[in-house]
Amino acid sequence: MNWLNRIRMRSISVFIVQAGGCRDCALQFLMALSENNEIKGITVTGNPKHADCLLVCGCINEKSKEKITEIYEKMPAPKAVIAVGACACSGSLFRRENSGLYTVEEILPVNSWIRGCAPGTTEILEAIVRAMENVKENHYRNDEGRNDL
Amino acid sequence: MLKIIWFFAIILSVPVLYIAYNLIMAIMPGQSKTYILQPVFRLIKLFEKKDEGTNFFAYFFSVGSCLFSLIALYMAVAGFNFLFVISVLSMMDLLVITGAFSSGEFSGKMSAKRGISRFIIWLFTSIVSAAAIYKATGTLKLNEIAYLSENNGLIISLPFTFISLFIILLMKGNLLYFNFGISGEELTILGEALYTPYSGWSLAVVQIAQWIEIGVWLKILSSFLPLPNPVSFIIVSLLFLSSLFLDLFVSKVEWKKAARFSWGWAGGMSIINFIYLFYY
Repeated sequence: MNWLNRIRMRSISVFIVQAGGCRDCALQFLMALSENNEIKGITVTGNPKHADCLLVCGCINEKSKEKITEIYEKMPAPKAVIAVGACACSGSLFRRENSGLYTVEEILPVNSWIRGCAPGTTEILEAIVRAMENVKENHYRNDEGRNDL
Repeated sequence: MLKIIWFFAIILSVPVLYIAYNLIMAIMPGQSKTYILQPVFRLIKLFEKKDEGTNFFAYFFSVGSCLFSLIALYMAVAGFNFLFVISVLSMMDLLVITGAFSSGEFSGKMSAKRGISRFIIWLFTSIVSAAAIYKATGTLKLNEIAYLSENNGLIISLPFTFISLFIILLMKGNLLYFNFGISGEELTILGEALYTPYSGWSLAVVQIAQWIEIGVWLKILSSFLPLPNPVSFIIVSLLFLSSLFLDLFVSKVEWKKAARFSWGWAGGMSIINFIYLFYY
């Protein structure tokens, strides 16, 4: 149903997880929301049960890994996961052998990757919209691995 | 026929108020980047979402609360006894709280605790206000109160009761210093009044129930003004809308502080008016 998908795209609740690191990615996202751009309807929520999209920023360690998976499980479907910044996408500078760090892809099915340190503000908003568009077309009901982009 | 029109007008009035809020915010530069119809979009979206983790009771209690809010609205429109309306609204609130508690989650228990403290405050205030209204008018029937008020202006003899009932409205809308933070750090205008354990369509149903509840309080408050009913309803609605904007300039307080403020302002105001009427 096209109209329903269009409505869903106009109200996206985002839950931000700061897994570890400098917090710049999360701040970039909050800055993007206060800018004057064409993308509207994205709001921040503090409750995973109200969220549509999980924004993971920073390096994931053993402790934050558990919390992130817990948050992901609490989110109702359809839901999207976005890895924001170099740390979340690849571990960046901090990824070493036996460093105990994970990328988002290793623990959750990721819908979008936003690379860069720190990533651009507009890119983050666009990625959220694209990820939510993607999540409706693919198998969002049974969360089988990552969706095709 | 008039009652049916009132019934549907009140159901629609609160979403219209939130849409008006979004409309004004969209015009203001550097403010919210939401759509004007965002509250409605979000409601439709919530109906489509699926939450496998939510227990059955959350759905049961959310539907129950919506039903009770509709009954309270009918009673308010038909001009029933003020205390009857309060008792039905209490049932509605208790159902939402029980649903939150039944989730067994930490967030659910936390919001249930806050919900109970809010419930005690608004119920106490309502009962004292009812006593003051009875003392002033000799009746508790809402249609008779509205009729008396149209000629005499109940707000003149019960100004503090009016304020205390308006504070109940602010508590229900989680506004200003009367925000109990029931939904944690929810930043959206729609989510502010919701309980954390609900999600998906149970959240949407609780949201509708909450809109209807605010409508009921607007209708009750409109009985105090010395004007025809529709005019006074619009004036009270505009007051509520202005408090939505005022909320932007007020920092959020810790919920225990909000509870203390609510006791002082809502409970205190109603007691002052009652004592004044009793002795003078």
